[in-house]
Amino acid sequence: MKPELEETAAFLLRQLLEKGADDAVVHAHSSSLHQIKFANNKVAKTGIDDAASAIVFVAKNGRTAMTTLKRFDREQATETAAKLVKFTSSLQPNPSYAGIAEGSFKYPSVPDFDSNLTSLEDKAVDLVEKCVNAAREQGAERTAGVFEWGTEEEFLVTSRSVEARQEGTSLYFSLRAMAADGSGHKVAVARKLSSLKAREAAEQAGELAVKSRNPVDAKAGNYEVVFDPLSFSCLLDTAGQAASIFSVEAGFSFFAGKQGTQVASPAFTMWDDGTLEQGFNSTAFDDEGVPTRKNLLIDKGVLKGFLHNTSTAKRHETQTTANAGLVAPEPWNLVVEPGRHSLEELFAEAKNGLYITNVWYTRFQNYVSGDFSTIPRDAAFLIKDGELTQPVKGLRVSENMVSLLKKVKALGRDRQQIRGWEVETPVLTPPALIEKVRITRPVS
Amino acid sequence: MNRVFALHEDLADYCVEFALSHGASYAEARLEERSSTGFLLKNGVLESAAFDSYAGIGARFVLQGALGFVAVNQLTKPSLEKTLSTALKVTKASAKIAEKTVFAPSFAKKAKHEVHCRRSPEGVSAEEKTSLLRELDSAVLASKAKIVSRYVSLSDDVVRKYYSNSEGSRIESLTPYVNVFYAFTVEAGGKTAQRNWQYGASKGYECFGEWQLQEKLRDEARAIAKNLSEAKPVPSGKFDVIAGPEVVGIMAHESVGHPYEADRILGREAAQAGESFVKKEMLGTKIGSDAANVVDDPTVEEGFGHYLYDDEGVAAKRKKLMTKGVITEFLHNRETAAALGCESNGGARASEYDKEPIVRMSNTFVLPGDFSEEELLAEVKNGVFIKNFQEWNIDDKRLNQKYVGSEAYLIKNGEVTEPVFQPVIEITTPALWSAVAACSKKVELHAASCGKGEPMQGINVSMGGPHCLFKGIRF
Repeated sequence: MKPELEETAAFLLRQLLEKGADDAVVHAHSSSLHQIKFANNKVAKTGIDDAASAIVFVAKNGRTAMTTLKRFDREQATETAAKLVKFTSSLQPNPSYAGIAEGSFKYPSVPDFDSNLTSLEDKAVDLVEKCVNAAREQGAERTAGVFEWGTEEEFLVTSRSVEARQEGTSLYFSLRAMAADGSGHKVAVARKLSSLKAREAAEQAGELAVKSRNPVDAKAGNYEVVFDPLSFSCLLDTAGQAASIFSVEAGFSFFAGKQGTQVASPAFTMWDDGTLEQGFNSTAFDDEGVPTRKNLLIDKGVLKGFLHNTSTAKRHETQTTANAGLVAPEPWNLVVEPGRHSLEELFAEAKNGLYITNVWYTRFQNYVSGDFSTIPRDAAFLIKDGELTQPVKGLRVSENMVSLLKKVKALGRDRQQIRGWEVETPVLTPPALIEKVRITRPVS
Repeated sequence: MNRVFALHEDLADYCVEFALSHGASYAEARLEERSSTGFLLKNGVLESAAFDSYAGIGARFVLQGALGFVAVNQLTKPSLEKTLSTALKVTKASAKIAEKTVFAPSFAKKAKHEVHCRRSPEGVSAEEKTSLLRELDSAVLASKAKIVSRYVSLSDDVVRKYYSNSEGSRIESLTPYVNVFYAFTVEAGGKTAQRNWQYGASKGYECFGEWQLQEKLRDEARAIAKNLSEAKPVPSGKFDVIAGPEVVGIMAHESVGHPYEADRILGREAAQAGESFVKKEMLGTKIGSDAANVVDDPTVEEGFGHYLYDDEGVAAKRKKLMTKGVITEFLHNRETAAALGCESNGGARASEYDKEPIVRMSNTFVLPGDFSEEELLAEVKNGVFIKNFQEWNIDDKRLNQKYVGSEAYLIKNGEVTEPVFQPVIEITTPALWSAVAACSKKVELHAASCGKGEPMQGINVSMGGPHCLFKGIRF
């Protein structure tokens, strides 16, 4: 990180304390994010977003407020500190606030920094070209997607003796392949270029596109459904959000009031893990500077607890899980314990049912009850006698999230890390076989 | 115009010059300065309060036919030059496999546009803003329903933009926005139900006087409690449906606005936002009834998606998407217009300086008919009135959609009678728009944030319409 960013962040913290802040946090970020977007087998756009900013939090006399510093010099820092303290004083108290973590802390080094990403330009174009060709070699007619890579540096200082810094790299590749009326979508996620399985993702997407041509309308009803990691992760993303104590309090959680009870089948175990190797969102520390850890959320179907920061933990008489968010605790990377089945064995276990490779537009009628629906997109197939058969279309999963998790019958052994449009929290998951999933479709 | 903004304007112009001097055949830059505040009241406690101000430049250029984009928020010449130089290098490398970017012609414009407001967000104190929030929170409690969670947020922005391109356009604009989101959970009869909704306007705080939100939130909480206690499921069968403006608006947005976006039709957003059942050859095709008329109109001042110039400097205009059930116009930016051999109709928008402008909706709504609401009701002997909804979704080609009613009632012999529980419309797009039989005279617009693009861009839009009668909807 540029020295002036760290110096200004530390200076701003001192200014806030001099002006009477009881607690203060300054969290500076500097990032360079690159993207190649492609469509119809050609590059549609290349882009770079270079940005630096610092999130500034202050607590004073029971009141809390935040702002962002975008220009890193002492004049701007002085002005921001004065404005923030004045703004905070004008507010009503926040009795929910109960403090930030007391440092200092030691942090493990983050091994997942890839220095190759700082000058990837020509290689990135070549990677996109090879992946587009790989999908086409499988029979795809058209491809669309993105390749994104970036570097980020962070520096965090707090009024409670925390000083933390880290740097990280990330890569994301997404390719949707189309062949006539068939399509397949796969993603690849990593923190190092050498770990990014982009070509495999492209080949699999191309293969799915070809296999899913000529789909027919499936009938509504209850089906045994094998969810691919991509589709399962879209559902689990909502479970990660529901595990935040903020969601519980705000009325956005189908886990509210269910701690210690069965919220999923005994086959299902899930953690949130800020330390996950190659985890897209892995971080050495949370937004208070607390070293991250692996937290068991659901153990053999039983909800073990919620995600907390220091303040929410104090209010709920528990310990922080190192998931700050200063206002709302957030999951880092969701990790599902693998099962023992290959994908083919899951099809065999299902006997007759559906294989759904992707979903989108997951929307809730009621976050507290968990009633929702989501729409399968891309390749979906009927399973007959344990084998994939006819491609199908026009489906909707109309379900209840807790009920769905309780119906998980078996999990695959091969996991993939997924992130994307509707998977804001990265999810490392195998495919899942879920029983008696309610499928609806348009009526006329 | 303040001194800092003027300095930043020079930097935006410099981006255009720099790209041109390094081989670009076209360049444009958007300077955006935004000042914002935001407040969140959760179960009556002010858990979050923030202010923010920033400036950033987003610039696009065409180099050897390939399109490049940069965004920077450290507004100095060295910082801009460094990012632009790297971007030019990547874009040049991509040219061998890039789509040749062609923009439809557009006349260079020099213009200034300011949305005037009576109470600018910058002039309203934090105390007053939090007091407004507290009034909304109290209104939910005043319903006397059993409320198990409350979440109310208020945010505002004042956005100053300067657009400059290599064809000579120079456009300045200033737009205020005020935005309220609320969510609450009601419990009755051993069940819960939720209401989440948004109000927003390209205005100042005078909008609170127009919205009358306290009354609305109180009545909504009461209606949901009554629904939970008394509602029965809709019997299976075909019914005539009167949908309120909130429901009609989401239908227009999802199954008319989105599939008519030309970039979807051409496959540019295929990876995430998806494609469209509408093909470029389908202009002139009838897919709805004569009563179905839908427009997208950024010039409507009260809409949350209001603007007069888009983010490519093209003048905004009303787009007649569906006229008497016929597909009559697509939404375009300059790139899709060139591909389909027409002029851009001013649909290019970027959510913030750090996103590329893509084809977006603005204020999308069903045009009014000539019925009063009472006359619409009188048309229905046995039907369902769906006032508002919670869950909805639609497939990525915009054909298969679902809307689940929240506050809903049976209609018997032209009268709204007992509540019904969560009626589900699950229908294809042609079937939906072919069922429109009549529309009322009064149009309501509702605010929303529309998601599209990769990276995702959430953008202010409004959606709405009159009350509409749909014949023969199957439940």
